Amino acid sequence: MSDHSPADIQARSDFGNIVRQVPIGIAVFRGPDFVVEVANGKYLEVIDRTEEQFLGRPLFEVLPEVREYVESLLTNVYLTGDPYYGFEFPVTLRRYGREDLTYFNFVYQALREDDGTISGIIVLATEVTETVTAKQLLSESEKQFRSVFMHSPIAMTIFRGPDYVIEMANHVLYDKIWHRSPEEVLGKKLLDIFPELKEQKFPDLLREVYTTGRIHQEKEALAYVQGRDAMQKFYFDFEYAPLREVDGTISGIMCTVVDVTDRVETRAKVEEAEQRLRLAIEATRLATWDLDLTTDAVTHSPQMAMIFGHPAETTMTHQRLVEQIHPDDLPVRNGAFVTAMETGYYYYEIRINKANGSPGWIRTHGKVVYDKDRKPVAMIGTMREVTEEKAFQQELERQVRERTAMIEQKNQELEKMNAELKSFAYVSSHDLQEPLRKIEIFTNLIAEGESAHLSDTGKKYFGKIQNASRQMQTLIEDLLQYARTNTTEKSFEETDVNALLQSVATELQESIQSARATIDSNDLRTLRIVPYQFRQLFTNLISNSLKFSRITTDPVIRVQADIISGHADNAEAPDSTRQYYHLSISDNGIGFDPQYSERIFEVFQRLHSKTDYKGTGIGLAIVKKIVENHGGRIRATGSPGAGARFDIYLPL
Amino acid sequence: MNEKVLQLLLADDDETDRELFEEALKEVQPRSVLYKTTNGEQLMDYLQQDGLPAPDALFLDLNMPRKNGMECLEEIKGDAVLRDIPVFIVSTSLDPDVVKKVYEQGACGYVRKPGSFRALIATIGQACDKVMAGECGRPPFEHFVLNEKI
Repeated sequence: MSDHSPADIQARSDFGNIVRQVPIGIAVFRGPDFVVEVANGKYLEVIDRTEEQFLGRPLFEVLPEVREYVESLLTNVYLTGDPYYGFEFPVTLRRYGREDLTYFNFVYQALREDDGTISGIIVLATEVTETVTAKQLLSESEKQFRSVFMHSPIAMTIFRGPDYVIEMANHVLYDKIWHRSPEEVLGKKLLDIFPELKEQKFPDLLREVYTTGRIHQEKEALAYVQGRDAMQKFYFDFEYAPLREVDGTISGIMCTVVDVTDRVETRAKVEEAEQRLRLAIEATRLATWDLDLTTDAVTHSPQMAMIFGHPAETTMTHQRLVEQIHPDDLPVRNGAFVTAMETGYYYYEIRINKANGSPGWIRTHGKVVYDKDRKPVAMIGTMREVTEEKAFQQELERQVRERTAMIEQKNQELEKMNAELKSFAYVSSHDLQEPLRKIEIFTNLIAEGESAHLSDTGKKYFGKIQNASRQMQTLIEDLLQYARTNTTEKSFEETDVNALLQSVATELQESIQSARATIDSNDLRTLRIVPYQFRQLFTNLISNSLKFSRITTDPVIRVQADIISGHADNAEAPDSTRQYYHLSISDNGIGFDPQYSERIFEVFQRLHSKTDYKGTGIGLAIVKKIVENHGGRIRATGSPGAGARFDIYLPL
Repeated sequence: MNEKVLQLLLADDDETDRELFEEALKEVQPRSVLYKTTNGEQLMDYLQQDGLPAPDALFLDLNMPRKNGMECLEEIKGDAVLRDIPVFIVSTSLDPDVVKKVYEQGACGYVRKPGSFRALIATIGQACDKVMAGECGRPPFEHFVLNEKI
């Protein structure tokens, strides 16, 4: 290289120019200290140094910041002659007044002398900082996309290719919809994993997106997906978006899915409830309305127009409604309005005139709506036609009135009858007894003072008159007794029944002794009774036993009491939940034919002729009435010649 | 035996009863004086005349026209002047409720018109004895009816 021909010199100069101008940084370092021999413009530009600063000086003297990156590389090339290729090699340069992280593609190539020894290194370098940074940014955004994708609350997946191979999918999709793990689905064909989709509309939609490139969006699409155990029903908001390659061809589909099943089902439930309510409202023919209190504007359901006799689609104004109210009932409605302003609650029932002129009844319930200052601003409510109800109610009221009138009339009749009965009792007691008593007095006077003037026959007849009048006296007294037993006046007292029986026995002592009768009794207890009536009861029953005794046998009258529980089999004490006081009075007298066991309690029913046994036929009727006055029942049992027995049951 | 002349007043609408009463009274108290009225109104008019001395006792029938014995008794017992006159109720019937009522209203005895003249004499005798003895306060209830048990 020492001989330089002019042509050679020319050639070298031309090459140097080219080298200086190429867009690749070129430099030559000589010797083991890497003294810079040549550096072209691009090289100098990249390292931000001038020729004066750079040429002829050892590399690491003028560019000390690169020593750490490249010294060993350069040394190795210088010593071994093996070229070194650097790819996107990072170097921090001090240039343009700052430290710059830069990237280079470069090659270190050994320069050999003719003898093959290495005397330097040629460097060819292209700065690729921009490319590397761009690449780095891209991968960063890819990473971010992936992270967003995976953690998105919206289920997402990417299908690749015309077979929709599942490339990626996020957690929500795995966990909430697919119930599959990534291992189960990734890299597989969508329709292989979810064959159930084949029967649904999704394959068609995918194909369409894939071929046309148009995004498909759909709300609340119904989808069935095979879950772990069973087919699950979903509603999805979803989108299929085509994924394009750089050249615009479609290579995949991105699918986003929002599960709105809950929302749809909840809404369906609400709608169903609304539907049901509407049905109920329609079924009850309930109209709904609201009234704006500031403008008097009414809005209402069609039913309201129908109630007033208009076609359903008619709009009723407040004015029109008021006009159809029966004039007599306007005050009722106005009063209700005033009340509503006070209480917040609106209610009335009034008559209306329907559009066709027929009358009707309506019933309205409403509530006042207030603004935040508690000022009434509106009323909302319901209205129902109650014409039939009213008619029914009025009919019912009419019937009740009729019945009441009837009952009142019956009552009056009864009262009149009662009064008549009372006056009958009074007449019996006074007016019948008066003449009778006088007959008695004067027959007595005649019998005592004038009997000497009478023949024997006259005396006999006189005796008969006296007997007859005495008999009639007894009859009237017994009847009176019976009537009086009927009265409602009852004074119950806790009474010792033993003492009561004792006093009756004392009273009847004479007849008991003359009949040689005995009365046996056990403990008769104390009982809440009307004492004088019970006294009468004992008197009558004992008298009865004495009267119907057998001539051949001394009468024994047994009076027994005990407490028994009611029983369905016992007609006189049928209530099994109650206790009864059971009193029995039995004798050893002549008894009676069982067929008369009921009749003997009837007034004036006598089983025997008056000549055989005296009596008015009222005694047992009085006994029965007394028992009934005490809420009890009496039963007579007996047979001819075997005595009679009376069982009395009083509920306790 | 007894010098006092009893002044008695009888109110009864029944003529025969008035006669029987008078007959019986003559047997018991021959010197007594009996004033007779035939209904309640007449009785009250008589009692309210000025200047007449009050009778020693009054025998009052319950069942009378115009104003019955019950009403008369009520008026007499409500009158400050008349209330001290002993009143014997005389009646054909013996209704326990009625007996109780007149007892509570302050009658001093109850005579049930008996079925024989002899009994009538006995009963009026009993009543007169009470009046003579001045024992015309309210008796125990069991002795209220003079001639029968109630």
